[in-house]
Amino acid sequence: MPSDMSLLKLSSDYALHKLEGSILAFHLFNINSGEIYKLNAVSFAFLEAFDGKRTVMDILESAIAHYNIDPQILTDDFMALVGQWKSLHILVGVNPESSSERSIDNGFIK
Amino acid sequence: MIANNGLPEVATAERSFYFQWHFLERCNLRCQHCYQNEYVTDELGNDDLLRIAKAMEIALQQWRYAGRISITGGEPLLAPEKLCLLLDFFENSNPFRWIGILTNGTLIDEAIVGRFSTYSKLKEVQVSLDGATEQTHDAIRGQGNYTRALKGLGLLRAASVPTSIMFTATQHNVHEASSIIDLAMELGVGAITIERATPIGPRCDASEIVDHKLLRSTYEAIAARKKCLNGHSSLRIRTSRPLWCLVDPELGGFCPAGFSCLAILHNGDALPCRRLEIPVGNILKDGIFSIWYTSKILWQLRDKSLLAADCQKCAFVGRCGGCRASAYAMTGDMMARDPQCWKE
Repeated sequence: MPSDMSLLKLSSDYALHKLEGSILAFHLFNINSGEIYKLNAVSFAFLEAFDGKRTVMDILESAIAHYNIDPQILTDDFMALVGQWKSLHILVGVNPESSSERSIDNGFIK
Repeated sequence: MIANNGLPEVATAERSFYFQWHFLERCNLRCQHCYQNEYVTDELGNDDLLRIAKAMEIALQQWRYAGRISITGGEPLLAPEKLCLLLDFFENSNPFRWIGILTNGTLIDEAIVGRFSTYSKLKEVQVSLDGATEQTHDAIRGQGNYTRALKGLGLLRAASVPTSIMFTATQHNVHEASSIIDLAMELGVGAITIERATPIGPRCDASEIVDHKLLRSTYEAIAARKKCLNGHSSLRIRTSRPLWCLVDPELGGFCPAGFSCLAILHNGDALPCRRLEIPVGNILKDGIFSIWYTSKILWQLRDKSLLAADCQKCAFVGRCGGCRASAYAMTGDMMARDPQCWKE
Protein backbone atom coordinates (compact mmCIF):
# COMPACT_ATOMS: atom_id res chain seq x y z
CA MET A 1 0.00 0.00 0.00
CA PRO A 2 1.36 3.48 -0.86
CA SER A 3 2.00 5.97 1.91
CA ASP A 4 1.17 9.21 0.16
CA MET A 5 0.91 11.84 2.88
CA SER A 6 0.43 14.77 0.50
CA LEU A 7 -2.49 17.14 0.89
CA LEU A 8 -4.51 17.77 -2.23
CA LYS A 9 -7.58 19.78 -3.02
CA LEU A 10 -9.73 20.60 -6.00
CA SER A 11 -8.12 23.26 -8.17
CA SER A 12 -9.83 26.64 -8.08
CA ASP A 13 -10.36 26.17 -11.82
CA TYR A 14 -12.92 23.47 -11.06
CA ALA A 15 -16.27 23.13 -9.31
CA LEU A 16 -18.07 19.96 -8.30
CA HIS A 17 -21.83 19.64 -8.36
CA LYS A 18 -24.26 16.93 -7.39
CA LEU A 19 -27.61 17.22 -9.11
CA GLU A 20 -30.35 15.72 -6.98
CA GLY A 21 -34.07 15.33 -7.35
CA SER A 22 -35.65 13.40 -10.18
CA ILE A 23 -32.28 13.19 -11.91
CA LEU A 24 -29.22 12.17 -9.94
CA ALA A 25 -26.09 13.32 -11.71
CA PHE A 26 -22.55 14.24 -10.79
CA HIS A 27 -20.53 16.84 -12.61
CA LEU A 28 -17.12 18.41 -12.56
CA PHE A 29 -17.02 21.82 -14.19
CA ASN A 30 -13.98 23.72 -15.42
CA ILE A 31 -15.09 27.26 -14.71
CA ASN A 32 -12.45 28.77 -17.00
CA SER A 33 -12.73 26.66 -20.13
CA GLY A 34 -16.32 25.60 -19.59
CA GLU A 35 -15.57 21.89 -19.99
CA ILE A 36 -17.99 19.53 -18.30
CA TYR A 37 -17.08 16.10 -17.00
CA LYS A 38 -19.80 13.67 -16.06
CA LEU A 39 -18.76 11.65 -13.05
CA ASN A 40 -20.07 8.53 -11.39
CA ALA A 41 -20.97 8.59 -7.73
CA VAL A 42 -17.67 7.05 -6.64
CA SER A 43 -15.48 9.49 -8.57
CA PHE A 44 -17.54 12.34 -7.20
CA ALA A 45 -17.15 11.08 -3.64
CA PHE A 46 -13.40 10.70 -4.10
CA LEU A 47 -12.96 14.18 -5.54
CA GLU A 48 -15.17 15.72 -2.88
CA ALA A 49 -13.00 14.12 -0.21
CA PHE A 50 -9.94 16.09 -1.30
CA ASP A 51 -10.50 19.03 1.01
CA GLY A 52 -6.83 19.96 1.48
CA LYS A 53 -6.96 18.78 5.09
CA ARG A 54 -6.89 15.00 4.78
CA THR A 55 -3.93 13.30 3.21
CA VAL A 56 -4.21 11.05 0.19
CA MET A 57 -3.57 8.14 2.55
CA ASP A 58 -6.36 9.22 4.91
CA ILE A 59 -8.81 9.37 2.06
CA LEU A 60 -7.74 6.03 0.70
CA GLU A 61 -8.15 4.41 4.11
CA SER A 62 -11.64 5.88 4.42
CA ALA A 63 -12.50 4.52 1.00
CA ILE A 64 -11.23 1.05 1.87
CA ALA A 65 -13.35 1.11 5.03
CA HIS A 66 -16.42 2.33 3.13
CA TYR A 67 -16.47 0.24 -0.02
CA ASN A 68 -16.81 -3.51 -0.02
CA ILE A 69 -14.06 -4.03 -2.58
CA ASP A 70 -10.78 -5.89 -2.46
CA PRO A 71 -8.41 -3.33 -0.83
CA GLN A 72 -5.64 -3.93 -3.34
CA ILE A 73 -7.96 -3.38 -6.33
CA LEU A 74 -9.43 -0.26 -4.74
CA THR A 75 -5.95 1.06 -3.90
CA ASP A 76 -4.75 0.53 -7.46
CA ASP A 77 -7.82 2.19 -8.97
CA PHE A 78 -7.79 5.04 -6.46
CA MET A 79 -4.12 5.84 -6.97
CA ALA A 80 -4.53 5.67 -10.74
CA LEU A 81 -7.41 8.13 -10.57
CA VAL A 82 -5.54 10.47 -8.25
CA GLY A 83 -2.53 10.39 -10.55
CA GLN A 84 -4.73 11.22 -13.52
CA TRP A 85 -6.46 14.06 -11.70
CA LYS A 86 -3.11 15.50 -10.62
CA SER A 87 -1.73 15.33 -14.13
CA LEU A 88 -4.81 17.14 -15.39
CA HIS A 89 -4.40 19.73 -12.59
CA ILE A 90 -7.85 18.91 -11.33
CA LEU A 91 -6.27 18.17 -7.96
CA VAL A 92 -3.53 20.48 -6.77
CA GLY A 93 -1.20 20.37 -3.83
CA VAL A 94 -1.75 22.32 -0.65
CA ASN A 95 0.99 23.72 1.53
CA PRO A 96 -0.14 22.76 5.04
CA GLU A 97 1.34 25.95 6.51
CA SER A 98 0.07 28.54 4.07
CA SER A 99 -2.85 26.65 2.54
CA SER A 100 -1.86 28.22 -0.76
CA GLU A 101 -1.96 26.14 -3.89
CA ARG A 102 1.39 24.75 -4.99
CA SER A 103 2.47 22.93 -8.06
CA ILE A 104 3.00 19.26 -7.49
CA ASP A 105 5.31 16.67 -8.86
CA ASN A 106 4.90 12.96 -8.29
CA GLY A 107 2.50 13.61 -5.46
CA PHE A 108 4.91 15.71 -3.42
CA ILE A 109 4.68 19.41 -2.85
CA LYS A 110 7.52 21.22 -4.52
CA MET B 1 -31.35 13.62 -20.07
CA ILE B 2 -28.53 16.04 -19.49
CA ALA B 3 -28.02 19.00 -21.80
CA ASN B 4 -24.69 20.18 -23.16
CA ASN B 5 -24.44 22.85 -20.53
CA GLY B 6 -24.60 20.25 -17.78
CA LEU B 7 -28.22 20.83 -16.91
CA PRO B 8 -31.27 18.66 -17.22
CA GLU B 9 -33.26 19.24 -20.38
CA VAL B 10 -36.56 21.04 -19.90
CA ALA B 11 -39.35 21.77 -22.30
CA THR B 12 -38.01 25.21 -23.21
CA ALA B 13 -34.36 24.20 -23.39
CA GLU B 14 -33.94 23.25 -26.99
CA ARG B 15 -30.49 23.38 -28.45
CA SER B 16 -30.26 27.10 -28.10
CA PHE B 17 -29.32 29.59 -25.44
CA TYR B 18 -30.78 33.04 -25.08
CA PHE B 19 -29.01 36.18 -23.87
CA GLN B 20 -30.76 39.45 -23.16
CA TRP B 21 -28.13 42.15 -23.01
CA HIS B 22 -28.96 45.56 -21.58
CA PHE B 23 -25.72 47.13 -22.73
CA LEU B 24 -26.66 50.61 -21.53
CA GLU B 25 -29.08 51.95 -18.98
CA ARG B 26 -29.72 55.40 -20.40
CA CYS B 27 -33.23 55.90 -21.66
CA ASN B 28 -35.17 58.75 -23.19
CA LEU B 29 -38.45 57.56 -21.59
CA ARG B 30 -39.63 56.91 -18.04
CA CYS B 31 -42.38 54.34 -18.51
CA GLN B 32 -44.67 53.50 -15.60
CA HIS B 33 -43.85 49.83 -15.38
CA CYS B 34 -40.14 50.12 -16.18
CA TYR B 35 -38.02 47.81 -14.06
CA GLN B 36 -34.98 50.05 -13.95
CA ASN B 37 -34.28 51.72 -10.63
CA GLU B 38 -31.70 54.07 -12.03
CA TYR B 39 -30.83 55.42 -15.42
CA VAL B 40 -27.10 55.64 -14.93
CA THR B 41 -24.89 57.03 -17.63
CA ASP B 42 -21.88 54.87 -16.74
CA GLU B 43 -21.27 52.63 -19.70
CA LEU B 44 -18.71 50.05 -20.60
CA GLY B 45 -16.19 50.95 -23.28
CA ASN B 46 -16.05 49.10 -26.56
CA ASP B 47 -13.28 46.77 -25.37
CA ASP B 48 -15.30 45.57 -22.39
CA LEU B 49 -18.44 45.22 -24.50
CA LEU B 50 -16.54 43.02 -26.92
CA ARG B 51 -15.06 41.02 -24.03
CA ILE B 52 -18.59 40.21 -22.90
CA ALA B 53 -19.69 39.37 -26.44
CA LYS B 54 -16.68 37.09 -26.84
CA ALA B 55 -17.44 35.38 -23.52
CA MET B 56 -20.94 34.60 -24.79
CA GLU B 57 -19.54 33.23 -28.02
CA ILE B 58 -17.04 30.99 -26.21
CA ALA B 59 -19.79 29.65 -23.95
CA LEU B 60 -21.96 28.76 -26.93
CA GLN B 61 -19.04 27.07 -28.68
CA GLN B 62 -18.26 25.05 -25.58
CA TRP B 63 -21.87 23.98 -25.11
CA ARG B 64 -22.45 23.52 -28.84
CA TYR B 65 -25.61 25.59 -28.60
CA ALA B 66 -27.04 28.00 -31.13
CA GLY B 67 -27.15 31.51 -29.72
CA ARG B 68 -30.05 33.92 -29.65
CA ILE B 69 -29.50 37.42 -28.39
CA SER B 70 -31.71 40.41 -27.76
CA ILE B 71 -29.75 43.64 -27.52
CA THR B 72 -31.42 46.37 -25.52
CA GLY B 73 -31.04 49.08 -22.90
CA GLY B 74 -32.26 51.45 -21.51
CA GLU B 75 -32.91 52.55 -25.00
CA PRO B 76 -30.31 50.98 -27.31
CA LEU B 77 -30.75 53.61 -30.02
CA LEU B 78 -29.29 56.23 -27.69
CA ALA B 79 -25.93 54.62 -28.49
CA PRO B 80 -26.25 53.62 -32.17
CA GLU B 81 -22.51 53.19 -32.72
CA LYS B 82 -22.16 50.79 -29.81
CA LEU B 83 -25.31 49.00 -30.91
CA CYS B 84 -23.89 48.52 -34.39
CA LEU B 85 -20.55 47.42 -32.94
CA LEU B 86 -22.41 44.62 -31.19
CA LEU B 87 -24.52 43.85 -34.25
CA ASP B 88 -21.30 43.55 -36.27
CA PHE B 89 -19.89 41.12 -33.72
CA PHE B 90 -22.93 38.87 -33.52
CA GLU B 91 -23.52 39.00 -37.26
CA ASN B 92 -20.05 37.53 -37.73
CA SER B 93 -20.16 35.13 -34.80
CA ASN B 94 -20.82 31.60 -35.94
CA PRO B 95 -22.73 30.30 -32.91
CA PHE B 96 -25.17 33.19 -32.98
CA ARG B 97 -28.09 32.50 -35.30
CA TRP B 98 -30.68 35.02 -34.20
CA ILE B 99 -30.36 38.66 -33.19
CA GLY B 100 -33.12 40.87 -31.91
CA ILE B 101 -33.24 44.48 -30.80
CA LEU B 102 -35.65 45.61 -28.08
CA THR B 103 -36.50 49.30 -28.36
CA ASN B 104 -39.19 51.81 -27.50
CA GLY B 105 -39.17 52.72 -31.18
CA THR B 106 -39.10 56.48 -30.69
CA LEU B 107 -35.60 57.07 -32.06
CA ILE B 108 -35.85 54.96 -35.20
CA ASP B 109 -34.98 56.93 -38.32
CA GLU B 110 -34.12 56.14 -41.94
CA ALA B 111 -30.39 56.09 -41.24
CA ILE B 112 -30.51 53.43 -38.54
CA VAL B 113 -33.07 51.39 -40.46
CA GLY B 114 -30.69 51.41 -43.40
CA ARG B 115 -27.97 49.99 -41.19
CA PHE B 116 -30.28 47.39 -39.66
CA SER B 117 -31.23 46.11 -43.07
CA THR B 118 -27.61 45.08 -43.73
CA TYR B 119 -27.60 42.45 -40.96
CA SER B 120 -28.82 39.08 -42.14
CA LYS B 121 -29.06 37.66 -38.62
CA LEU B 122 -31.15 40.55 -37.35
CA LYS B 123 -34.42 38.66 -37.22
CA GLU B 124 -36.49 41.08 -35.26
CA VAL B 125 -36.74 44.63 -34.02
CA GLN B 126 -39.21 44.57 -31.18
CA VAL B 127 -41.01 47.83 -30.44
CA SER B 128 -42.84 48.27 -27.16
CA LEU B 129 -46.46 49.30 -27.57
CA ASP B 130 -48.40 49.39 -24.34
CA GLY B 131 -51.70 50.46 -25.76
CA ALA B 132 -53.78 50.03 -28.86
CA THR B 133 -54.65 53.70 -28.56
CA GLU B 134 -52.55 56.81 -28.30
CA GLN B 135 -54.22 57.74 -25.03
CA THR B 136 -53.36 54.49 -23.28
CA HIS B 137 -49.84 54.16 -24.65
CA ASP B 138 -48.89 57.76 -23.92
CA ALA B 139 -50.33 57.61 -20.40
CA ILE B 140 -47.77 54.87 -19.71
CA ARG B 141 -44.86 55.96 -21.91
CA GLY B 142 -45.19 59.72 -22.24
CA GLN B 143 -46.88 62.13 -24.57
CA GLY B 144 -46.18 61.80 -28.27
CA ASN B 145 -44.51 58.42 -27.95
CA TYR B 146 -47.33 56.41 -29.53
CA THR B 147 -46.96 58.37 -32.75
CA ARG B 148 -43.18 58.09 -32.61
CA ALA B 149 -43.28 54.33 -32.01
CA LEU B 150 -45.71 53.80 -34.88
CA LYS B 151 -43.57 55.93 -37.15
CA GLY B 152 -40.55 53.81 -36.20
CA LEU B 153 -42.44 50.62 -36.93
CA GLY B 154 -43.49 52.06 -40.28
CA LEU B 155 -39.91 52.82 -41.25
CA LEU B 156 -38.82 49.31 -40.31
CA ARG B 157 -41.67 47.74 -42.25
CA ALA B 158 -40.93 49.90 -45.30
CA ALA B 159 -37.37 48.58 -45.30
CA SER B 160 -38.55 45.00 -44.76
CA VAL B 161 -36.80 44.76 -41.40
CA PRO B 162 -38.67 42.08 -39.40
CA THR B 163 -40.68 43.60 -36.58
CA SER B 164 -42.64 42.61 -33.52
CA ILE B 165 -44.60 44.31 -30.77
CA MET B 166 -44.18 43.88 -27.04
CA PHE B 167 -47.26 44.67 -24.97
CA THR B 168 -46.67 44.71 -21.22
CA ALA B 169 -50.01 44.22 -19.51
CA THR B 170 -50.85 46.17 -16.35
CA GLN B 171 -54.13 47.27 -14.78
CA HIS B 172 -53.88 50.40 -16.96
CA ASN B 173 -53.87 48.74 -20.35
CA VAL B 174 -54.98 45.12 -20.04
CA HIS B 175 -58.38 46.07 -21.48
CA GLU B 176 -56.59 46.70 -24.78
CA ALA B 177 -54.81 43.35 -24.90
CA SER B 178 -57.14 42.08 -27.57
CA SER B 179 -57.26 45.25 -29.65
CA ILE B 180 -53.46 45.44 -29.71
CA ILE B 181 -53.63 42.24 -31.77
CA ASP B 182 -55.81 44.04 -34.31
CA LEU B 183 -53.35 46.92 -34.37
CA ALA B 184 -50.44 44.50 -34.88
CA MET B 185 -52.20 43.00 -37.91
CA GLU B 186 -53.03 46.42 -39.25
CA LEU B 187 -49.40 47.48 -38.92
CA GLY B 188 -48.19 44.29 -40.58
CA VAL B 189 -45.75 43.29 -37.85
CA GLY B 190 -44.56 39.71 -37.72
CA ALA B 191 -45.23 38.86 -34.09
CA ILE B 192 -46.68 40.11 -30.85
CA THR B 193 -45.84 39.19 -27.28
CA ILE B 194 -48.36 40.00 -24.58
CA GLU B 195 -46.62 39.72 -21.25
CA ARG B 196 -47.60 40.72 -17.75
CA ALA B 197 -45.58 43.36 -15.91
CA THR B 198 -43.44 42.44 -12.94
CA PRO B 199 -43.62 44.93 -10.06
CA ILE B 200 -39.94 45.66 -9.59
CA GLY B 201 -39.48 49.24 -10.74
CA PRO B 202 -39.80 52.43 -8.70
CA ARG B 203 -43.07 53.37 -10.39
CA CYS B 204 -44.63 49.92 -10.54
CA ASP B 205 -45.97 48.37 -7.35
CA ALA B 206 -48.27 45.41 -6.85
CA SER B 207 -51.36 47.58 -7.43
CA GLU B 208 -50.34 47.93 -11.09
CA ILE B 209 -50.35 44.20 -11.59
CA VAL B 210 -53.18 42.38 -13.31
CA ASP B 211 -54.95 40.17 -10.77
CA HIS B 212 -55.19 36.47 -11.43
CA LYS B 213 -58.86 36.49 -12.47
CA LEU B 214 -58.38 39.22 -15.03
CA LEU B 215 -55.15 37.65 -16.22
CA ARG B 216 -56.96 34.36 -16.78
CA SER B 217 -59.76 35.94 -18.83
CA THR B 218 -57.18 37.95 -20.79
CA TYR B 219 -55.09 34.88 -21.57
CA GLU B 220 -58.22 32.94 -22.55
CA ALA B 221 -59.29 35.70 -24.95
CA ILE B 222 -55.81 35.90 -26.51
CA ALA B 223 -55.55 32.11 -26.82
CA ALA B 224 -58.93 32.09 -28.59
CA ARG B 225 -57.75 34.82 -30.98
CA LYS B 226 -54.59 32.88 -31.63
CA LYS B 227 -56.62 29.80 -32.58
CA CYS B 228 -58.87 31.82 -34.87
CA LEU B 229 -55.94 33.47 -36.60
CA ASN B 230 -54.00 30.27 -37.04
CA GLY B 231 -53.54 29.83 -40.78
CA HIS B 232 -55.43 33.03 -41.59
CA SER B 233 -52.85 35.63 -40.61
CA SER B 234 -49.08 35.94 -40.76
CA LEU B 235 -49.09 37.44 -37.26
CA ARG B 236 -47.56 35.15 -34.66
CA ILE B 237 -49.00 35.58 -31.17
CA ARG B 238 -46.35 34.45 -28.75
CA THR B 239 -47.60 32.48 -25.79
CA SER B 240 -44.53 30.60 -24.71
CA ARG B 241 -44.23 31.62 -21.09
CA PRO B 242 -45.58 30.15 -17.83
CA LEU B 243 -49.35 30.07 -17.11
CA TRP B 244 -50.38 29.96 -20.78
CA CYS B 245 -50.66 26.17 -20.58
CA LEU B 246 -53.45 26.62 -18.05
CA VAL B 247 -55.71 27.96 -20.81
CA ASP B 248 -54.45 25.59 -23.48
CA PRO B 249 -52.10 22.67 -22.78
CA GLU B 250 -50.48 23.20 -26.17
CA LEU B 251 -49.31 26.68 -25.21
CA GLY B 252 -46.73 27.93 -22.75
CA GLY B 253 -43.47 26.61 -21.49
CA PHE B 254 -41.33 26.20 -18.42
CA CYS B 255 -39.52 29.36 -17.37
CA PRO B 256 -36.03 29.14 -18.91
CA ALA B 257 -34.35 31.09 -16.09
CA GLY B 258 -31.46 29.02 -14.83
CA PHE B 259 -31.70 26.60 -17.75
CA SER B 260 -31.16 28.32 -21.06
CA CYS B 261 -30.99 32.08 -20.65
CA LEU B 262 -29.07 34.82 -18.95
CA ALA B 263 -29.65 38.56 -18.71
CA ILE B 264 -26.65 40.86 -18.67
CA LEU B 265 -26.80 44.43 -17.42
CA HIS B 266 -24.94 47.55 -18.52
CA ASN B 267 -22.03 46.89 -16.13
CA GLY B 268 -21.65 43.20 -16.90
CA ASP B 269 -23.73 41.99 -13.95
CA ALA B 270 -25.70 38.86 -14.76
CA LEU B 271 -29.26 38.03 -13.69
CA PRO B 272 -31.15 34.75 -14.22
CA CYS B 273 -33.78 36.85 -16.02
CA ARG B 274 -34.04 40.62 -16.37
CA ARG B 275 -37.08 40.64 -14.16
CA LEU B 276 -35.59 38.37 -11.50
CA GLU B 277 -33.30 40.88 -9.88
CA ILE B 278 -30.92 38.61 -8.02
CA PRO B 279 -27.37 39.16 -9.32
CA VAL B 280 -25.53 35.90 -9.90
CA GLY B 281 -22.14 37.42 -10.77
CA ASN B 282 -20.42 39.71 -13.21
CA ILE B 283 -19.40 38.48 -16.63
CA LEU B 284 -16.23 40.60 -16.71
CA LYS B 285 -15.09 39.71 -13.21
CA ASP B 286 -16.32 36.15 -12.80
CA GLY B 287 -16.76 34.81 -16.32
CA ILE B 288 -19.85 33.10 -17.70
CA PHE B 289 -18.75 29.58 -16.85
CA SER B 290 -18.12 30.34 -13.19
CA ILE B 291 -21.51 32.01 -12.92
CA TRP B 292 -23.35 29.30 -14.79
CA TYR B 293 -21.78 26.38 -12.96
CA THR B 294 -21.46 27.70 -9.41
CA SER B 295 -24.28 30.16 -8.73
CA LYS B 296 -26.44 28.81 -5.91
CA ILE B 297 -29.34 30.90 -7.19
CA LEU B 298 -29.16 29.28 -10.61
CA TRP B 299 -28.94 25.79 -9.10
CA GLN B 300 -31.99 26.53 -6.97
CA LEU B 301 -33.93 27.59 -10.05
CA ARG B 302 -33.00 24.31 -11.71
CA ASP B 303 -34.28 22.22 -8.83
CA LYS B 304 -38.00 21.73 -9.35
CA SER B 305 -38.24 20.01 -5.98
CA LEU B 306 -37.73 23.45 -4.42
CA LEU B 307 -40.84 24.85 -6.06
CA ALA B 308 -43.80 25.58 -3.80
CA ALA B 309 -45.93 22.58 -2.88
CA ASP B 310 -48.82 23.93 -4.98
CA CYS B 311 -46.62 23.89 -8.07
CA GLN B 312 -45.28 20.43 -7.39
CA LYS B 313 -48.80 19.04 -7.11
CA CYS B 314 -49.86 20.76 -10.32
CA ALA B 315 -50.22 18.61 -13.42
CA PHE B 316 -48.54 21.35 -15.46
CA VAL B 317 -45.37 21.64 -13.39
CA GLY B 318 -43.29 20.20 -16.21
CA ARG B 319 -44.53 22.78 -18.71
CA CYS B 320 -45.12 25.79 -16.50
CA GLY B 321 -43.59 26.17 -13.06
CA GLY B 322 -44.87 29.74 -12.86
CA CYS B 323 -42.91 32.94 -13.26
CA ARG B 324 -40.05 33.01 -10.80
CA ALA B 325 -39.57 36.75 -11.24
CA SER B 326 -43.19 37.50 -10.32
CA ALA B 327 -42.92 35.17 -7.34
CA TYR B 328 -39.78 36.90 -6.13
CA ALA B 329 -41.06 40.42 -6.74
CA MET B 330 -44.34 39.85 -4.96
CA THR B 331 -43.39 37.44 -2.17
CA GLY B 332 -39.62 37.72 -1.73
CA ASP B 333 -39.32 33.97 -2.40
CA MET B 334 -38.32 33.11 -5.94
CA MET B 335 -39.54 29.53 -5.57
CA ALA B 336 -42.98 30.52 -4.28
CA ARG B 337 -46.20 29.90 -6.17
CA ASP B 338 -46.64 32.40 -9.00
CA PRO B 339 -48.91 35.03 -7.36
CA GLN B 340 -50.83 35.47 -10.63
CA CYS B 341 -51.57 31.78 -11.06
CA TRP B 342 -55.30 31.13 -10.96
CA LYS B 343 -55.25 27.38 -10.70
CA GLU B 344 -57.07 26.04 -7.62
